[in-house]
Amino acid sequence: MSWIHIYFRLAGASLRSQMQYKFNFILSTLLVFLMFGLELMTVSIIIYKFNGIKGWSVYEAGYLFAIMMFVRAFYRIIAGEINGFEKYLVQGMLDQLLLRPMPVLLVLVTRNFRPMAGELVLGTTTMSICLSYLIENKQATLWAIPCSLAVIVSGTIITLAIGLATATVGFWTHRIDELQRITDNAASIASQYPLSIYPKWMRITLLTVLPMGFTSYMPSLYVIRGELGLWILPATMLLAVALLLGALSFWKLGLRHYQSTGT
Amino acid sequence: MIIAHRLNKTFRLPIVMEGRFSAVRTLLSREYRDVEAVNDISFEISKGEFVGYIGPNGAGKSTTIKMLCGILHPTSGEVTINGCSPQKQRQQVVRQLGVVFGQRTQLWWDLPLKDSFDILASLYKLEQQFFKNQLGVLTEILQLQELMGIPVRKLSLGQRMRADLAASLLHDPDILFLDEPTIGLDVAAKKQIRDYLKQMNSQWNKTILLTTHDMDDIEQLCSRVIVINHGAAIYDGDLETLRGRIGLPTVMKIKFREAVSPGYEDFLSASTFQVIGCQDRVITVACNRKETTAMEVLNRMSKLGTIEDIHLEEPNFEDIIHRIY
Repeated sequence: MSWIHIYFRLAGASLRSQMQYKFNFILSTLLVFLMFGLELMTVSIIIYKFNGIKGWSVYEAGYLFAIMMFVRAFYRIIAGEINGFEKYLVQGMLDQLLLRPMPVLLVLVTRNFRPMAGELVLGTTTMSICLSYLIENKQATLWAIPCSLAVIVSGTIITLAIGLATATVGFWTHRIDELQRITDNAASIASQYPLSIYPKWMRITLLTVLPMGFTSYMPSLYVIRGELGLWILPATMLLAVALLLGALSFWKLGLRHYQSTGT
Repeated sequence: MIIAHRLNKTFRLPIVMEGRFSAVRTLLSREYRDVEAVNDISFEISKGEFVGYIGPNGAGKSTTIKMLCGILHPTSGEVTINGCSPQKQRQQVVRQLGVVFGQRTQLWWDLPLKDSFDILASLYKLEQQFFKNQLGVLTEILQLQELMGIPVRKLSLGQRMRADLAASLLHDPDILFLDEPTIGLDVAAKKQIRDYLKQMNSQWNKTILLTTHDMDDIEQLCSRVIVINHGAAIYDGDLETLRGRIGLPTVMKIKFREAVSPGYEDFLSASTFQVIGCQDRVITVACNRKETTAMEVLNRMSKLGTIEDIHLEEPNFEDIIHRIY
């Protein structure tokens, strides 16, 4: 309980720090809005023109897009600095965090806290449009709403686990920006679209080595298309928790190998 | 009570490849170079001691401190602080430590100073009353009243160091680790910081371990000195004994009114000092003032001609350490 209190305390401090540079803060929120908004619009126009891709209608694809929007937003809200972990290793910034009487991860994730307002607004809008269309057309029922929430939760956990595991690799290699660009950024962008559009090797990768396919695609097959079956939701959640536990113990191992820097 | 028992730390660094695709090849290569940063160091520090930990750059001072506070895990050996291992029981141990790294701040850079203390209070779960008292005392001793509303990034180096000290003492730790707390400060600020540290040690009975490059820090503060070079502890004892071992090495530059006549070297060869340079009218000699006095040197030199000017220089401490060990 007190950890949650401390989390908000630290996150609040980080937010107030950023408010010192208000212009930068507002601009970056607007830019996100513009960037993803444009991408979403382009893609939906194309899909609409071609009457869907590989059997996915524009609303179904939009649903996937919205799920990933939420997943990315919550991942960054909860643990934004994991994505920028390299500087803690290379510049020895982790030293200070290790001196606090609490889990290092807890101090780390509150650094540079961002509320991700752009993603959340865009995600909510897209999700409402797509789901209400699908429900109106009897392709889904209201049951899809709680299901979607579950998908977002498990998706966030999976992304978090993969991000954390990638960051941990840095304890040995020091440089991880490149690796993160693949596992953290590229894979989550790939999961915005139905996996069926990708070549086989990539589909297999996204369902095994780098299981980002489970963040949106796999569970959505059930939620909006009625495929697979309800079992996929608890199965995904189980996978997510297992991945996170694995990533956490890997992280603990990594901390023992932290080398800090000279002064 | 701090115990370091046979500490070793070896860093394994990949050998950086040169030429094309060097980054990729370095990543894939299995070749490593082992660097021994700390080599078999042992010591015990009792409560209330003020210990100076000195040595040249890269000797392993910071690495030792980082092992003592649990940031680094030793390759072998063991640390215990009040009976606990900072590696195994990190959260418990750091609660008893105050740590200041002179070149980094632990304060929240963009927020007013007061906010940093508030945040630290909730991090360490301090009781409101305790926090108020402690902050009150620290504010007064370290003269922070006027700084409380200023964002940390706008503080001067000396002000920031005082604030950092306060931050490290807020949870009332028994032990202070200070890594170069006076680095970059001007003379007045250095003196101020030293006075505070003296007070922390003598009045508040804090155990302090301090690394520094500044001999004055050591002289004015430390009752005990540990010297480290190339990762190994080469001296552990009081400052007087260390001084006795080193003596008072001095370099004297003596300037004559006229050019020195040749043959002076033969004349000086049987002296208690060595000639280490001669340039036109200036002769530079090195002596140890434990063995000879400056007057003695001058007396002898004056036989060579009229002395116009003299310049005395004590070489810096790290040079000496390098030379004698």
